[in-house]
Amino acid sequence: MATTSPPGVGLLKGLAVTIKHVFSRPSTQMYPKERPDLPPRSRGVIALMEENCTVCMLCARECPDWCIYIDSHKETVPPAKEGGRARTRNVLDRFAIDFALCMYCGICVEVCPFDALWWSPEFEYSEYSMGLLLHEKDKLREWADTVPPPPPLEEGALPPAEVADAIEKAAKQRELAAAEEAEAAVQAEATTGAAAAPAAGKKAEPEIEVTAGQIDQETFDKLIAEGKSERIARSKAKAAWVKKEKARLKAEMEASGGGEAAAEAPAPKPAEVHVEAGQIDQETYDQLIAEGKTERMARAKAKAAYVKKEKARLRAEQAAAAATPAAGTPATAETAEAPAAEAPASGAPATDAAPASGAPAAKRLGDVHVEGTGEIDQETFDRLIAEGKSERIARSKAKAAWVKKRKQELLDQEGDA
Amino acid sequence: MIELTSASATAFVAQAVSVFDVGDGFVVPLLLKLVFILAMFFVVPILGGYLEHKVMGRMQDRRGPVEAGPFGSLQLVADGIKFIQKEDVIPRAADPWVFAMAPGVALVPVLLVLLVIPIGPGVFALDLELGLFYALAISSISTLGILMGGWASANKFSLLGGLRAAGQLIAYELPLILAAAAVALQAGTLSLVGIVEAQATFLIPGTDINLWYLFPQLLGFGIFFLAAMAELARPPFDMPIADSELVFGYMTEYTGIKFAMFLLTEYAGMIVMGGLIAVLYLGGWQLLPGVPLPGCEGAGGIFDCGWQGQLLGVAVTLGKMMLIVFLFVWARVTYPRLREDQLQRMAWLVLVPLALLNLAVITVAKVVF
Amino acid sequence: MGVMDQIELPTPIKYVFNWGRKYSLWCFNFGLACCAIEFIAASAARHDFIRHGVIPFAHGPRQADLLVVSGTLTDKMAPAVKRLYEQMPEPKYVISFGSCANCGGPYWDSYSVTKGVDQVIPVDVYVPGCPPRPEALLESIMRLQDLIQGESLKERMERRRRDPITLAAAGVPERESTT
Repeated sequence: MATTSPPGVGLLKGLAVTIKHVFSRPSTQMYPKERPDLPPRSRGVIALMEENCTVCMLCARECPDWCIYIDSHKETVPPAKEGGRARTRNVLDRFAIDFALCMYCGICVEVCPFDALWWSPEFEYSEYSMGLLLHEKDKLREWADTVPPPPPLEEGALPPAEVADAIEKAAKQRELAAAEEAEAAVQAEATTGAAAAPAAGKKAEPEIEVTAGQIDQETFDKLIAEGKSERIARSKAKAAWVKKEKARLKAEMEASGGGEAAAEAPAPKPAEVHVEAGQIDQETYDQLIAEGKTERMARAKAKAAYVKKEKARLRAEQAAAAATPAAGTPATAETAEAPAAEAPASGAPATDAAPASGAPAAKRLGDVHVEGTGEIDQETFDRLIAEGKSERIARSKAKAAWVKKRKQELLDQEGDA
Repeated sequence: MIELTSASATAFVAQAVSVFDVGDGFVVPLLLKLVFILAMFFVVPILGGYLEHKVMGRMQDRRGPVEAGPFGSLQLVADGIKFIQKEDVIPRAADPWVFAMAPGVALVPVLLVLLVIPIGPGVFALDLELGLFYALAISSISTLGILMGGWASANKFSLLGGLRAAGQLIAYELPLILAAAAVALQAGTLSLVGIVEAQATFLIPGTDINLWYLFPQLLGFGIFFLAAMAELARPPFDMPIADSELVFGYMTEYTGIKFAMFLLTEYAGMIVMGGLIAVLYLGGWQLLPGVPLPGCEGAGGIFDCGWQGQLLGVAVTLGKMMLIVFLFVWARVTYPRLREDQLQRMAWLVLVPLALLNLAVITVAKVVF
Repeated sequence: MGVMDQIELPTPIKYVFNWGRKYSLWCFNFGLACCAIEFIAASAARHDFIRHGVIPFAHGPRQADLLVVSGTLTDKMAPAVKRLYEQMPEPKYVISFGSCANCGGPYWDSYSVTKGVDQVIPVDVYVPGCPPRPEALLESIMRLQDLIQGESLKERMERRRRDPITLAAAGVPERESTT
């Protein structure tokens, strides 16, 4: 007994506690009148959005209780274009969840790749007969109307992938429009017939730098087909694109005054003709299979080949039309991803020229401390990769370059101050 | 009849008149009294039960019954209606006659005690000269019914519960009677109406301040209250029905209407004990010490009332009963159940000596003043 | 009982009697697994089913009107449920609370689990969930109260005598809208 109190005090304290509660507000929720405050993700009942269901059967297969019943039949869909293949697809006949059996683990909702299954917080569906707990398609569709909107994200949270993609796409389109305008301005300048060709050439050089986000699709496809990693492929493709573009512009400048030639190849086009890499080139595929390659390899290569061909075709079309780029092709994750990867780098190029000229500043660079955060200088990386260095070396050098740049920036700021 | 009142210093009006004694006939007063007793027996326990539900709910941060009737006030009525419809199960091994009689034997004494409890000026069925003695004597018969039920059920839990009840009720009968004896001693009468009147005219010696017996007999009140709680087997003294040990004690095998009778015994018992405490310690139907009821004349301003005074008196007594019920519930919610040995030790080693001390002090005081 | 299930009572009396049964469901909890925790939550301060007249005071089956089987019923436990159910006096009601009690739930393929409590005793209301929310129990209790208010004790007992295990779905009131 650490604390001693006179006998009976504890009894009185007990009485005080209980009497206190008589005058406090009861914590009872008056359920039928007052709805429970359910969390938005609470697991009440599983709702089906029938339109999204492709009868992939993942949910039924993953269900630990086997309480999902799916029936379907196959339908043939006529080809979308003339000369295409007719396709078969599954049509949902019956989708039922036995809620008497369901253990509400939510695995079906998790695995559904097409967002056909949702959690609804509704819980009021007890029944007089157990058979009625087997909810068929239409009943499950009704539950879908009760699915609440997802709760807002936390402050500072990353947006969901699909939202981020959409935002980036929009940003990219704006960028493209801006680039086109710039191109048009250059063209206008060029057509006015500026005589100073070498000066124009020098001027054109930074113009190319600005659009250094583009990649050479051909090179990219080739590298991917060769089995390189995506990152390397992109870097190399970028380098290739810059090289090509420079060559092209140089040629243009040399031709000087050939304004019509410049109009033919607007910078953003290569990205715009990006093609969804879902299909394969049947010819290539057949050929590779015939050569005895494995199916996996053949498919990958055939895909690359398809993309290549398609791109060529589209470019030809664009050239023929000479109109606004075809915007119909849906952007895949790849196109959306590309600008994302470059985002950190895009801020850097402005100060690119500075280190070369600042010889006296190099002494002072050591005074400034910048911590390497693992970010790399994309330009340097791209250049080194293009030079054929190994990825490891390229990355470490690019990191060093980033730190250097950063220091320089800080010094410049100090100088300004 | 033993003439005890002659020794009293206070002037006691022999044999107060009940309001139900209208006319010279026999049948009409009898019927009126029966109606009165049955109303007391069925309505007031329901009030007490409702109070218990609600107070217990609030003390446990709940709301208690809400749906049955307005604010859940008909919860116990619903219970009653349901019990009528339930199947009457008699275990095959049970002694059917004893089994069937037990709830009645437990219930009737409570009903009989209600006869002598005055709840207003003239509002009582009987004014026995030995009212207190009668009440305490009759109420202990309930023990017999409980023991019968426990024995006849042919169930080990029932039997244990019945025996525990017998042990407990006998043990606590003693402090209860000793505490009540001190009141009777001070009032100089065993009549319950007489005790109310004695309280109305009791003055602190040397002054003219009127006081209820609660104040001179605070110790006695505490003893009586605890003993009453134990007599009723209310938690924390509910060892006879300890549900974590004995399922439901002597009531384990009872269903339907018989079980309802046991329940009613418990709730009516609370009312009876509340009435006894109100009469013995809280001045009966007196609103406040020394304040006469409106429209009343007679000793202490509590007799010979008009109908307003009578109604007010009834309301005051019922209020005091409910206060006692509230205290029972308060203790029930607050304290955990005692152990059987703790219970017996408390009765014999604490309450009985204290009750004897109380009696001795009152006796000396009575002689001195 | 006795007479009351033999004759069809006049409507007003039947109404009052049904009302009494409806609001006095002394509840006997047969807690077998995690669902019992939800049951206890429903009886505690936040949900407090005494509001609806469900009184968890029935210490034994003899005083109970409502049996709530909450949890996984194993074959070993099944005789105990059956016995306790039979010790309850008529009229008695059963709520099967949670997937395990409904039909075995996640253990439907187990060698030792009874595939639903309705294999042993008749069930009036099935509550889906694993475990169901306490409010789901309250909702099922209100559904049971609808059933009690609308039923005829005579019919119920006749059905019970004819088919002691399963309560036919016939004669149950229409589902009310849950919203």
